[in-house]
Amino acid sequence: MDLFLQGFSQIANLSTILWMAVGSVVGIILGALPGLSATMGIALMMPISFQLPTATGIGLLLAVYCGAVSGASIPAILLGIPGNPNAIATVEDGLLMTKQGKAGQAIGGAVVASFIGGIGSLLALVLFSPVIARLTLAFGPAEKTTLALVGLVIIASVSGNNIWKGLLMGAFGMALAFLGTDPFSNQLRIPFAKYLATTPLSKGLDLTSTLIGLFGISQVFFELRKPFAEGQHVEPVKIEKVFPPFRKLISMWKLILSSLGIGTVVGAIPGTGASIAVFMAYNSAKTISQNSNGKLEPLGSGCLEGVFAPEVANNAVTGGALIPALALGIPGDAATAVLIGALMIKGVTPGFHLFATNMPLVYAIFITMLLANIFMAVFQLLGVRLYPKILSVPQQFLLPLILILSFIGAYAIAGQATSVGIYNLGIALVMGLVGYYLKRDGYPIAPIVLGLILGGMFEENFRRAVKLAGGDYLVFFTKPICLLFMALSIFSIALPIIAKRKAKN
Amino acid sequence: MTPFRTRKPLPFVFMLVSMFYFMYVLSLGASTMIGDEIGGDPGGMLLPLVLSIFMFIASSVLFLTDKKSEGKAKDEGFGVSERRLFILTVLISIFYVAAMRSLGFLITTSFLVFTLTFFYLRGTVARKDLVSWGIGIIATLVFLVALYSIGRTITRFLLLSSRQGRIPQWLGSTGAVVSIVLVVVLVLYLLVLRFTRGYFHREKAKTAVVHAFDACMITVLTTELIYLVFRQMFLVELVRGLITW
Repeated sequence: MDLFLQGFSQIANLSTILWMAVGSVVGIILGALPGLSATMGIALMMPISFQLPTATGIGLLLAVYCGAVSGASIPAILLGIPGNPNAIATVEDGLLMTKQGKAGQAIGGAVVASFIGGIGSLLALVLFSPVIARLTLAFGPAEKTTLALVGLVIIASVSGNNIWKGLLMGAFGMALAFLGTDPFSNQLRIPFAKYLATTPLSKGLDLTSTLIGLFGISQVFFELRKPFAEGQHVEPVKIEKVFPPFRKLISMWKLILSSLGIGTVVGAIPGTGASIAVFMAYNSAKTISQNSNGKLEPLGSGCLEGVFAPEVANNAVTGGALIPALALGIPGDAATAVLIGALMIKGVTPGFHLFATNMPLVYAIFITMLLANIFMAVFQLLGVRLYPKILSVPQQFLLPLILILSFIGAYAIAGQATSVGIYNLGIALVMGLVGYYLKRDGYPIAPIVLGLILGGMFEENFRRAVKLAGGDYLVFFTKPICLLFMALSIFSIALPIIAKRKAKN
Repeated sequence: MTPFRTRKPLPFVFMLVSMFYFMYVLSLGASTMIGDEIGGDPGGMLLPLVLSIFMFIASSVLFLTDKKSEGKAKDEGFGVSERRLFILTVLISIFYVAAMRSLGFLITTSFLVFTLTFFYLRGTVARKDLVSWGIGIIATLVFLVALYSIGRTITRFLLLSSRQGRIPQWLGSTGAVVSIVLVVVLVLYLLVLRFTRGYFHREKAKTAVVHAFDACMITVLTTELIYLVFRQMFLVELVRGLITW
C-alpha cells in the first residue's frame, strides 16, 4: 500500500494531469488524421516527455497512445477512411451507421468500446505483468539472450509481407545498436573513428533522434510521393444520442468479453498489433451475433455491434502490448517499442528489475494508463462535434508542422548542449531518409526499432553467458528456457512461411 | 536485360553495406572484456561479424527475389510536381541542419516552415512563384522577429522586476512568464491576422500572394509556439545565431 501511495504521489499533481490532457487531445487528433500513426505521435512527443518527471512523461506518452488508437475510429465512421490500420474493421458498420443518420451513436459507441477495451486490458496488465516479471527471476544471461532473440525474431517475421525483409531490418537495427563503444572493453566501434571519436556519435546513435527520423521525418517524405490530399470534406452529420443504450451494452456482454480477450492476448504477442486483433474480434463477433437468437444485430448491417467489437479489441491491445513490454522489456508493437525507448532514455530498464526496485513507478504507470483511458473517453466525447472539423485541415499545413516538430524534438533532447543537438538533427534527417527508402520498398520499420532496443541487451547477455560457461557456445542448448525460446523463434519464422504456402495452394 | 533493371536497388545497397560492415569489423580487431585473462569472452567482434554475414545472405536473397515490377504501382502519383516538392523538402531539411548553428533557430525554422508550406500550397516548385516566396519570407521574418522581441522584452521585464521585488515573486516564475508572453503574443498575432486576412483573401482565387500570406501566418505562429514551449518552458538552449537579443 505504501508503494502504491508513493506511486500515486508521483502523478498526483497538476502538471501530470495537464500534460496527460494535452497528450490525450494530441493523440486523438493524430489518430484521426489519416496517415499519422500512434507510433509517430509517441515519437514526436518523446522529447517533451524527456523534459518532464519520469511518471509524468510516461503518462503523456500513454495518453497519446490511447488517444491515437481510439481517435482513428472518427474518420473510419464519418468518412470510411481509417485514421490508421487499427480502425480498419470499424469502417464497414461505422460508415453504414453514419449513412443511416446514427453517426453520433457510432462515435459514442466507439468511445465507450475503446474505454472498456482500455480498462479491461489494464486489469490484465496489473494482474499478469508482475507475475511474468517474477518468472524472469529464473532467467540468467543465457535465457535473457534467447529472450531478446525471440522478441526480435517474432516481430521481424510477422512485420510486413516478406520474412527476409523483416529479418534483414532486425539485423540492421542490431547493427545500428552496436555502433558506439564496446560495452565490455570500451573500444570504439564507429566507422571513421579518427574523425568521429570526439563527436557524440562515439556513444552510439541517439535513440530518440533515430526513432523520430524513422517514424516522423520519413513519414513526411513518404506522404510527398502522392498528390496532396485536400482536407476531407465531411458532410454535416447530426451527432445526437451519443451514449449507446445501457440495455444494448448488457446484451453485448459476450461480444465485449471476446473482443477484450482477443485484443489483450494478441496485443501481448510481440509483433502482432491491433490491425490483426480487430479482424479477429470482428469475425468472432460475427459468430456470436449469429448464435444470439436475434438478440444481436447481424454485423455488416450498420449496427453498434460492428463498431463495438473492433474498438474494444484495438484499445485492449494497448494494455496487452504493455504486458511483455513492462515485464520482459520485449515490446508488443512498434508503439510500445518507442515507449520502452522513452523509459530507457530515462534510465528505467523494464523487466523484473523495474518491479523489484521501482514498484512506485510501476504503480504510477498503471494509474496513468487508467487516467489515459479516462481522458481519452472524456475528450473524445467532449469533442465529438469538433473532431470531424480536424479532418478538413489540409496536408499542406500538416506536413511542414510534423517535419519541424520532428527536428525540434530531436534537437531538444540535448537540452543545453547545442552541439549534441545539431548532431541529433543530422541523425534524425539521415534516419528519416533511410526510413523513407525502406518504406518505399515495403521494408517494415518496427524490427529496426526492436533491433536498436534489444541489440544491446542481446550482446551483453550473450557475451556474459558464454563467458560464464567458460567459452562454451553450447550453453544455450543446455537450458530448458533457452530451448523453449529458440523453439519459439524457429516456430515464428516457420509459421508465416507455412501460412504463405498454404495460401498459395 | 541486366539484373539491375529488373531488381530493386535497396537489397544491393544492403549487400554493399553488409560487406563494408564485415570488413570494417575485421579491421577493428578483436577486443575482449577488461580482466578476461582466463578467457571465455567471445569478444566484441563475433556478433557484428555474424550480423554482417546474415545481412549479406538476407539482402542477397532479396536481391534475387524482390523484383521491380512488384513495386511499380507504388510510383503512381509520384509525378513531376511531387518529385520537385520531395527534392525541395530534402534540400531544405539539409539546409536546416547545416545552417542552424550559424543562422540560429528563429531564422532557419521560419525559413523551413514558410518555404515548405508555401510551395506545398502552390502544389509545385515553379520559377514564377519565387518573387512571392522572397517577399513572403522577408515579411515572415519581420513579423516573427517583432513578436519575438516583444516576448523577450516582457520576459526580461518580468524576471528582473520579480527579482527586484517590484512585482509579486510568482509573476517571475516560469509558468507565469510563459503564460503572460503566450497571451500577449497570441493577442497581437490575432489582431494582425484579423486586419490583414480580409485584404489578402478578398478574392476567391488562390494566388501566390494569398498562399504566401497563409504560409507566413502559419510559420509565425508555429515558430513562436515552439520557441515558447521548448526555450521558455523547458529551457532548451535553442541556437540564437544572428538574432542575438
